[in-house]
Amino acid sequence: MEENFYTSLYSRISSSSKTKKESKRNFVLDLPVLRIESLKEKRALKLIIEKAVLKMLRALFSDEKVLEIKKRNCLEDIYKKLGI
Amino acid sequence: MSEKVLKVWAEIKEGVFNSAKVYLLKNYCEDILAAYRLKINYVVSQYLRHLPSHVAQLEKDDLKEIAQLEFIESLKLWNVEKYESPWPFAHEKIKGAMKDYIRYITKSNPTSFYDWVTEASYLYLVIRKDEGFEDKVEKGVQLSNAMKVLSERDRNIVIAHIKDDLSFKEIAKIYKLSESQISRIMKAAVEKLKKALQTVSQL
Repeated sequence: MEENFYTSLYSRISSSSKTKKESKRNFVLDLPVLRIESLKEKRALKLIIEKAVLKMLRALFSDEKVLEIKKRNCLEDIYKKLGI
Repeated sequence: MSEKVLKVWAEIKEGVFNSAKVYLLKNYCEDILAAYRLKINYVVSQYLRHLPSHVAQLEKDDLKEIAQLEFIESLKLWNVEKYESPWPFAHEKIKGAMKDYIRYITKSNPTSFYDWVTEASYLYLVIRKDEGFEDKVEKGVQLSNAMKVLSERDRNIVIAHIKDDLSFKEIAKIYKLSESQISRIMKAAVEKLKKALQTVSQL
């Protein structure tokens, strides 16, 4: 695919707002550091996050690809930011 | 599951989904596009069928890129909890983006008047198939004048269908009429134009 396409693609990915009416909603990327002490609660929250993200992955990729992405620990960064 | 955890989840879920989306788009963009390429290309090819062939040929590649970019954009807005697949929403967004693009290039292009005359000549071609090219362009200008015989509403309907590429269904929505009524208005308008042109050619 052409380089120009990717340039504009990445600028769109990283842009947080657009002039279009329907895109005015903020694209929230901030994740707060959570104050959860209980291991049980941390585990429960991780489970919810994993389930939700898995649902998203299944809509976008084949089962094989979903497994591959899961293996790469794509959620580690999110857990780290949340401090869980 | 404790109430506290569910409360925390409600607060952070948008950020979690968006972070995951950015991660996926940065690392697996090609895979996502590959998974949806057939669908995206199908929508583009359907739209191209409604464009005049010379426009379709010129704009095909740009429209494909726009469709892909709009698909990515719609992923950002996709509500994962509410909709299982991003496609229904993306589909509408892609169609809208392609229409916006075609409207934009036809309005911003300084040669749009020439395009309008050429398009009008295509309409004339439908009316009388036995004309030469030069005649068609000339009659295109005549056709532009002949449009004055139509009422403002009928003229706008003809322009919406022929120039702006709106379907009868879309026009029907605008004028709050049925699709078949629009079809009848269009047919009658073409007949009126045909008569008006015949009168001009007899002068």
